Amino acid sequence: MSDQLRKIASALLAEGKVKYFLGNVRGADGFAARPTTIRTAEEANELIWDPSCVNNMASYLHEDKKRILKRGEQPDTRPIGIFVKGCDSRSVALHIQEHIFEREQIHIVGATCEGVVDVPKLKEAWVERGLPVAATKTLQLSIEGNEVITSFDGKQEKFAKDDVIMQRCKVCRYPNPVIHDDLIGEQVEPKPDTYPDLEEMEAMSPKERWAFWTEQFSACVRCLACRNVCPACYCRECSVQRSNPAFGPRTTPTEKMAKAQFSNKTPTMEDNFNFHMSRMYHMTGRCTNCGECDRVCPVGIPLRLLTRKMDKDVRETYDHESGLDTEPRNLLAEYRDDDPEGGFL
Amino acid sequence: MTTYKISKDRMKELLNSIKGYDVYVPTELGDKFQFKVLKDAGDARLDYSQSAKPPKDVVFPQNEVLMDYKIVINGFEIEQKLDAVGKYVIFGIRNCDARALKYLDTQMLNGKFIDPYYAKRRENTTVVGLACNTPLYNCFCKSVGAGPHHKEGHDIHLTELDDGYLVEIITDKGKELMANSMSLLAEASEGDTAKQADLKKASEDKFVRKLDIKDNDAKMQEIFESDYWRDVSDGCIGCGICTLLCPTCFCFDIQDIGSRMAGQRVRVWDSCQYPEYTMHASSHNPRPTKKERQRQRFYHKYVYSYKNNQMLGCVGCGRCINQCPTQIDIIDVIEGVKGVTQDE
Repeated sequence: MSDQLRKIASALLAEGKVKYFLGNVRGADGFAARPTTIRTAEEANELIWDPSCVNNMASYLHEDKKRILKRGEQPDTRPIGIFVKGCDSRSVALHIQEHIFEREQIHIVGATCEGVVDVPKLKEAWVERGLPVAATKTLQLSIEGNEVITSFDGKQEKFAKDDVIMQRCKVCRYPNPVIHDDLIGEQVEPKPDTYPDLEEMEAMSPKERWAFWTEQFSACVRCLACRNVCPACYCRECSVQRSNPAFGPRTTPTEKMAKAQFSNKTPTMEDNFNFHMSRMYHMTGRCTNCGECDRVCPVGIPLRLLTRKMDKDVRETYDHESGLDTEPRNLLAEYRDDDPEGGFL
Repeated sequence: MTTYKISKDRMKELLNSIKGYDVYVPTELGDKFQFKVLKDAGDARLDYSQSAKPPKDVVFPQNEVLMDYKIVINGFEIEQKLDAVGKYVIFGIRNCDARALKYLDTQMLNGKFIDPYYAKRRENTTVVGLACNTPLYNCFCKSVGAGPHHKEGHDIHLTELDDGYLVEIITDKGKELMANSMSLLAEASEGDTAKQADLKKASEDKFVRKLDIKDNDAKMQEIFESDYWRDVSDGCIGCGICTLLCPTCFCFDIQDIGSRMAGQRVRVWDSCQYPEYTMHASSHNPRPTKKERQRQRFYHKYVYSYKNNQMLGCVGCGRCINQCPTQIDIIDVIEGVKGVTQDE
């Protein structure tokens, strides 16, 4: 599968059809690929596509918009090449829906996906079986049927797929890219439309839920990885993190209004709740459920429970799902006659 | 110095017998570990591998109220919050994190300005180190001048044996902490100290990854402008995980929180990975892209720190590698420096 991707990407770069290509290369070990920017056709031969490609490359699209041109530099108007899995393709579609990019500004190389590995889980399983840690340098991953096959030094070791793939892949309804210019792989059967992962949280009483999230958010260090990795977070300046000078005694109320910060930098309980809840509200009807925020959290806050709950509620209440096509659609700015919710939002 | 021994059951009694201190111990949080104030000795997980967050926040809290301010007629009133500092024990800290505290000392307690908040907390903190028998895959403390069984920066040094812990009381602070608990300790036998030496050897042999930093800083100074730094930071998403979880990072921002008439001045951690960190008032940013920001991290740890304090700014805990969402690997990056040609 990597070969096909390399061929497509190097052809695109050699012919100058894209300005650069966003894809994954081998990481320090074989468990997790490293996302990078490929600039030449030769470099494209390092690209890989295997179950270690956990990263959502759509998160790197907005950097192009944020880049400040040097004096006299002409903008490169060629499209950006990007590698996407099924879930990532929805994030790219969201960018087009929200007019951040036009469709022809992105060349999408899609791959159908059987799932990607949960790196810490696979590592743990690896160590538990007493496999040589040093061998991970040469590790190759693949998925066949219900098994994740790891090959190293001419040997093979099989793991049950359900034990080592990402939680998000077990409930994935979009394993095939929703939009693409090139497609790699055979169509994959989507998983059934259920929310088994939410049962536990939904069964909690409001009091229990409060206690649960209080404990989870108390660990937050506000590294903002969840925000930075999110493909739907693309503001140039974020209101949780602005370089405003601190308020002084002479700051007038008007000035304060102009500097509104909905959450202070301080990671107190109050501000952590503020930050996470505000982020979730901004994602309502926009989140494509790629699950990256949950993956990157260094202290293991189960943010995916929130995004999944939001996804479920938005679908049930408003029959809306973002990033399925390139039509401009937005939950909070759309009125349809057949809207299941009777009133206006 | 006498080496003592304590059984595993008695360790719980020991933890309970510490009075007058806030005792930070590694506890379980989900599938990770974190240092928390001890409430019940049963929660302590001294068999932990590494805490997700380093316990540097005991001496340098992420959120520290420096003072309360209040506007009154004809002026203002401020109340410094130094008295709120209590007495702390970091129990079971690994050597990498304990060395990091020594590194923080070089930044906060050195030179013309001494940080009074840090100084007071540091002075009131007793460090009980626990030798590391289970280095993780990405640990490389051995390569940066330390080791899993080193005692640098510890007031008391513990070593876990099969049937208990060896206790070495190194400093006066350590003696003071143990003053009421000496009855729980027994003198260690020679067999136990021999076992300790074996464990040390075994632990050092477990290291998988190595970093060779010989002649590294001269080379790094040559290639400051190289595209190499663009390539290594391509995948960076600009979150601050590597710096916020780093036991030696010490950058902070000061914020005023409150209303126009009264509020608090708070110190919060900041990170060089955020664009706002270097933003000038003129809106010029000397580190405009992630290339410059990531480069700063590597140079600060491996070049500037050594130049200024003769101590590397990296203790080899491997947290930035383990937790980086996009696999930026400080060992690979610093090793990779050797292969960079200047004109690249």
